Amino acid sequence: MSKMQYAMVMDLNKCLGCQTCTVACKKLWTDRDGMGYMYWNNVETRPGAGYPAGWSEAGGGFRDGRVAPGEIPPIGKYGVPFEYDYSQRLFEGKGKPVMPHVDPTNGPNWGEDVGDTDRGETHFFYLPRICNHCTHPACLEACPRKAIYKREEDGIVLIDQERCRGYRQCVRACPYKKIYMNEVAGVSQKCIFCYPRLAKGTPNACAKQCPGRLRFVGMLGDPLSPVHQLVRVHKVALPLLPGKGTGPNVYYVPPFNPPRRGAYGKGILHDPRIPWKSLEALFGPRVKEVASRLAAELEIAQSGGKSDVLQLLIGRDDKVRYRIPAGKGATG
Amino acid sequence: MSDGKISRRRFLWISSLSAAGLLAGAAGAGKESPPEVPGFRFDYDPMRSYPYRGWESLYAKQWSWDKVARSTHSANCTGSCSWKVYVKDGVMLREEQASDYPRISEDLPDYNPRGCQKGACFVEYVYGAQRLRFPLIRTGKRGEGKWRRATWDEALESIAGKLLDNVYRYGPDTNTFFSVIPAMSPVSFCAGSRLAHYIGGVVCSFYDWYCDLPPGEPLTWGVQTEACECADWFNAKLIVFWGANVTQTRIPDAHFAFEARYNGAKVVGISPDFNSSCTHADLFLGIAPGTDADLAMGVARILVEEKLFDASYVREQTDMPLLVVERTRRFLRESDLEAKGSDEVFCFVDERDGKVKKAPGSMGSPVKSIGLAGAVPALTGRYEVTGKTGEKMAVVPVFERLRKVLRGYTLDKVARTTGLDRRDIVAFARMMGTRKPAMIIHGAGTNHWFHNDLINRSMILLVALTGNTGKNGGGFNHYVGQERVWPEEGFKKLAFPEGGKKQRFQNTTLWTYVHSANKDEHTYNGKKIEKYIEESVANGWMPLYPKNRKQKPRSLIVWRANYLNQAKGNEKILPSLWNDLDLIVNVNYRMDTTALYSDIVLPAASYYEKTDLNTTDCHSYIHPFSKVLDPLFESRTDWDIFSALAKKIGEVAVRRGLPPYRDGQFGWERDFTKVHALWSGGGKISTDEEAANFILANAEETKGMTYAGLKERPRRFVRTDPVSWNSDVEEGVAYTPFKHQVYKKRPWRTLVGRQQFYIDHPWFLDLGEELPVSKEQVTDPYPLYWNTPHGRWSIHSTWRDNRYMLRLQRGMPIAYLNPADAAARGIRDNDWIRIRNHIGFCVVRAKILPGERRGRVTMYHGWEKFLGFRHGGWQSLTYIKIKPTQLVGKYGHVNFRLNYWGPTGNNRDVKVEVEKVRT
Amino acid sequence: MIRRDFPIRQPIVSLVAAAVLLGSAPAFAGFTLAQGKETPLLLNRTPPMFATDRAVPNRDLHARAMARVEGKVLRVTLSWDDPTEDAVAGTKRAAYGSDSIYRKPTGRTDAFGDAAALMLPRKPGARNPGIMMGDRDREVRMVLWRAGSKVETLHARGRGTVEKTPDETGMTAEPSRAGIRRSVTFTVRDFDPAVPMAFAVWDGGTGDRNGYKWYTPWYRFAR
Repeated sequence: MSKMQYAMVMDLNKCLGCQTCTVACKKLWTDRDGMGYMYWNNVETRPGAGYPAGWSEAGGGFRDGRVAPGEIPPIGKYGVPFEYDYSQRLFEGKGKPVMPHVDPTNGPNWGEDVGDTDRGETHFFYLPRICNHCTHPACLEACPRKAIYKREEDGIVLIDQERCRGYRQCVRACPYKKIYMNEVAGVSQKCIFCYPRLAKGTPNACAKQCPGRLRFVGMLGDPLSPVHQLVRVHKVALPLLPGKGTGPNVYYVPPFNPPRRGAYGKGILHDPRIPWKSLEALFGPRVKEVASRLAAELEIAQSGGKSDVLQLLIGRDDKVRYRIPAGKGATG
Repeated sequence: MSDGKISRRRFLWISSLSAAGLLAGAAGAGKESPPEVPGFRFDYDPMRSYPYRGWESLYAKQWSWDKVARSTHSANCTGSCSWKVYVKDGVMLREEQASDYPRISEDLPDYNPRGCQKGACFVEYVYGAQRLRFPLIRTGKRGEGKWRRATWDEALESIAGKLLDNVYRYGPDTNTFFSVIPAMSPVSFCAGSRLAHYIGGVVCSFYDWYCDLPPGEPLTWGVQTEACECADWFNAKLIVFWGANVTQTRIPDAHFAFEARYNGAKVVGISPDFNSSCTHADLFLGIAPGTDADLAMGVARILVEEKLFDASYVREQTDMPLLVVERTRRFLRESDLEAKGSDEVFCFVDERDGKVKKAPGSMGSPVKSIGLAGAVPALTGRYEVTGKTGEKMAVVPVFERLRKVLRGYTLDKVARTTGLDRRDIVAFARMMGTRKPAMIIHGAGTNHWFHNDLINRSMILLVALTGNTGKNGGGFNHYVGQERVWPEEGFKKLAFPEGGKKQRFQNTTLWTYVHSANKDEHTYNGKKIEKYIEESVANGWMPLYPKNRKQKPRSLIVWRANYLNQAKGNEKILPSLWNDLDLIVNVNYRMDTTALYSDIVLPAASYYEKTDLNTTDCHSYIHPFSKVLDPLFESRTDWDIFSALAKKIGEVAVRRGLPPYRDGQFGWERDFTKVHALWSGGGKISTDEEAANFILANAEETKGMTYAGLKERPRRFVRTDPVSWNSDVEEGVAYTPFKHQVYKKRPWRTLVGRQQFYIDHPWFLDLGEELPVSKEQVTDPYPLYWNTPHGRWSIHSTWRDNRYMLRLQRGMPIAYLNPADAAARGIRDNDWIRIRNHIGFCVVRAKILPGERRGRVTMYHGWEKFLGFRHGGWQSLTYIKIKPTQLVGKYGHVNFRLNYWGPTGNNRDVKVEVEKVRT
Repeated sequence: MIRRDFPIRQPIVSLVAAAVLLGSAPAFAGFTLAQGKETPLLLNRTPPMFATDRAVPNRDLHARAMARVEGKVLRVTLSWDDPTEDAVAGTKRAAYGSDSIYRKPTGRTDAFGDAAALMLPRKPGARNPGIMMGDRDREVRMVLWRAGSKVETLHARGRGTVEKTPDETGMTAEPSRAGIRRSVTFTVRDFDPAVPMAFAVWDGGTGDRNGYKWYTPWYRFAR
């Protein structure tokens, strides 16, 4: 166990589904050969198949204390990155409408805004996902080359890009399917929690560039960090698929939707639009308790009172949302 | 164990054959005792420490750069987001929000980071396949995509010659100039508008044409649009998203709404579809399309009946107490009472003494304040007054008339029309009446209906009745289009140096309708729209160029815009207006649809290769574009392009020995040999940086600022020019409009000097629209609404063809269908469908969306015609419908003014049928 | 119809596993390759790595070898049926359509490449080296062919110690294919007929890589 652990909290009630995090990450880290299909950070609409499609049912994690690798998703579950031949149409007079080079059947955001219908009303929310930098990483356990490690100083889980040989046992073992094979490089790759940025005191690109300002970053054990406050003190943030046994370090403030038609005034959770079972499947059995506490806080705020936890979640500026211990003055 | 680094190097080369060995995992990875091999380490615990971390510098190197420069985007997103662009080895690699907007106050959340996913991948356009690299001259048919590379000299010579031909042969008003939204890059806009100004060309509007102008605002407030900056949302205790999907269309600002919620605001989402903004609402009202005025009027009825309105605000700030003559339905004017009375002075009854008094602050009033000086204007009652010739007139306050109208909007009726639950309507009305401050965030979802003016007026009525307009955290705030240039006077002086009175301005909706084969077959009060148009033009209410009605427009120069792709009635324009033009020039950094269908394409600098400024309604800062790199390939900045064109016009004029042209409309002797000298301000505004500094120096808002200084950091405006603005910029306070009226009692910019809900222009009276009402949509007999809203994946057509964005969608245009509508037509997800009506059709992919409203099909707008459609385009279904009341002029504050008042190019009432394409 | 070249499988696996437990295998001459005679090979399958792994791949594999020694040069051709061509190589940058700046999309996230290897003890000895990459006292050298990649030479002294031998020039491999029959001919110069040899085959189409593979016990060359 590393002594210190970086963690991120994402407030799903602030997420816009705008994918700025996705593009920020893509342009910084995965805009290179062999990485077209991979999104270390993705945002998916839930309920939905997610990215890669069906990842939450594709196995991985631990079973009876032993790592239990699941599937390696084929490219079709991620979606082939589309290419376009503009020149023929725009400059060469060949006249064919510009179309993606493959017939689109899937993509990382294929189910955008679809969600589900329950008793005649629709519900959905956005779920941004990065590597969870787990306390007990199944990927690390599964790697036959021991090329995956957890940094003792901050708990970031990395794949040694020089020692990895692309066997993809980690891809199988990760219950979040957050490790990606780079066919060109012959190695597996994943979110690095922007360690080069953190080293200079600049928060992760996905967090710093998030216009919804829903991401909070800091050390879980640092009592002054917002993540500590939200996870340990206010206890309003929950990890994803806690039953997989990996101890993820990305936490989510669970989502609300507005009440169902005609139900306004009875409390936002009186007749919830999102069925509990759908949330429990992702965030575990504690989600009802946590959501109810948040609803009570919201009620206080909207009745003219002040809620400490909601004031924190407002996150008025960078100083509130991020506490980067290695910070030597933000750059970039 | 020896040095891990050295051994690691060798370890790297281990083949896939081997490493963990034949039976490696059988006993659990790494559990056996390691072999002792010199130089190799196998005893580490990757959970504790790892010996081979030297490789980590690999990623550190990826996050490095040689140069950073500040720029932004000119796509009319209303965002105005300051970005840093990172350059490595002479190539622009990526961009990141500059995130250095200064904080307004400790209480308000800041504006950082400001920018969305689209801004984060603009670099793709700098180097992408769509980029225009050289001047091109068409060799095939328009739109075919066959070109030859030309020199700048050849291309400019050809344009200059044609423009001069037109002036002398057909008149200067056959040369037409179209560019949009100066706020997003005023220097680039002015480059072309100055040239139009000096050669007598017609400058076309955009804000009304794109239906982003909320016509209810000029009617009610006498302004173009006034909205609070988005930080002010945080001050609200009720936020209503009404026709605005802020999570998609106001990405950099949406956080203020959800942070306001945590600070005690309730959020109401009103939309036909359960969209992403509504997912974060406390109350979702899934309204039937186009019934927003019904809901607003229904809510107004509840506010009035339950006495949830702010009577003192209404008496002072609105026309509700002003008297209307029952018989004529016109305001009681001073001229009705006195022989030399003004037509622009109005009256109310003072409750204190029951006497009729002249309301202060109207256009004809000598009093330049709306302060009541103790009077209590009556809102109710029926009175009798004696006219100047002794006749008796029954008069009632506007409020009385409004109450009568509101009585028609019973809860049952409104619930039935809007499809909403009665309990939800009442809950919403009571929130509106009790939570203060309350604001409506308004957008194109409701503004694009034919009766947008009525919808606007009915919503503005709600925030006026409840006393929210002109207060921080309140009001009706419309954000569609980045129309407001903060340093307005500086901009105007640069854009039209001799003043607007010496410039030909044209409402584009009217221009396009008249000059194309668009025909609206509907009748309005029994008359075709052509009748109204002729009357309006004849009355001098609306201009129409060319003035000589036998002439057609001859040339069209488009820059900073994608006119053709975005034009309603696209299918009708191509064979008519487009076909009739002899010369179409496009100045662009990318080959978009308009460029593709042009004759000459001039390569412009991209957003990261130019010097310019950028402002928005959404915040109170100004920041620049800059040349991250000098213009790439053979591209040039807009400023340099129009400078070169002005020079070329001069050269051609000299060569041809052209005498000065007498422009009769302005009495202007136009000497074309001197065009460049005039254009460049006698050489004082030769460069784009000089132009930027000219704007900054000539506006109150930017006094003391320089272009060079702005490159350091965004700057908040120092003060507002009272000529253009209705509030001050205050230290530590978010900007919101109309504080001058509400707190300083300055008159509103309307005929009556108050928020004017009653318009007694004869056309309004004839059409029954003197007060806000709901009206039937103007549709055609098809079952599905054709909904083309703004979405998250593009800013109009920009980013529509960007790979990074397409990969996060479905790779091509898609139309969203409700599952039931799809099932009824045998359509499954991702099927090809044909969308058709009597105007045209397009063939695209379907996406089944449970949140979509039944009876509606949605395609987010802006798709380029050449991408992903098997046939047609998203504008193949639309046509131009002009609303008669929007042709009105010469009524108090209601006069044609470019982008302030003129017919809007609405498109929401279009209906279609959809069918599966069997392939 | 799959022809079973060698009738016994699982018992041999156990036998080899037992040998592994003993540290290194005794040098018995149970398996031989005769000069110029094509011989079916005993192919063992590595056991599953994880509890969630399938015990055996969904495709059986049959391999044969034909060895010939001429002078001091061993040429041994390993052949097997493999209907799928699985090569994982760096996908090259390529123009897409006429837009030359674009890269050809990549992404066979779940594909693995075919491979085959020949392993020999570095020196003759009384006992054969461990079948798992030799052992501390008995070094092995290998030549590895991977579809789509360069042939590599390697050496090891036990599991987890494999290293590349870039200066090894005495061993090469040459692939060929005839229909579904895939062959790799390994050439070893300065071959000492006293040392045994072992083979391994990875069928990329069934997910073989690393410790998932087919392998043989030690074979001796018999003239």
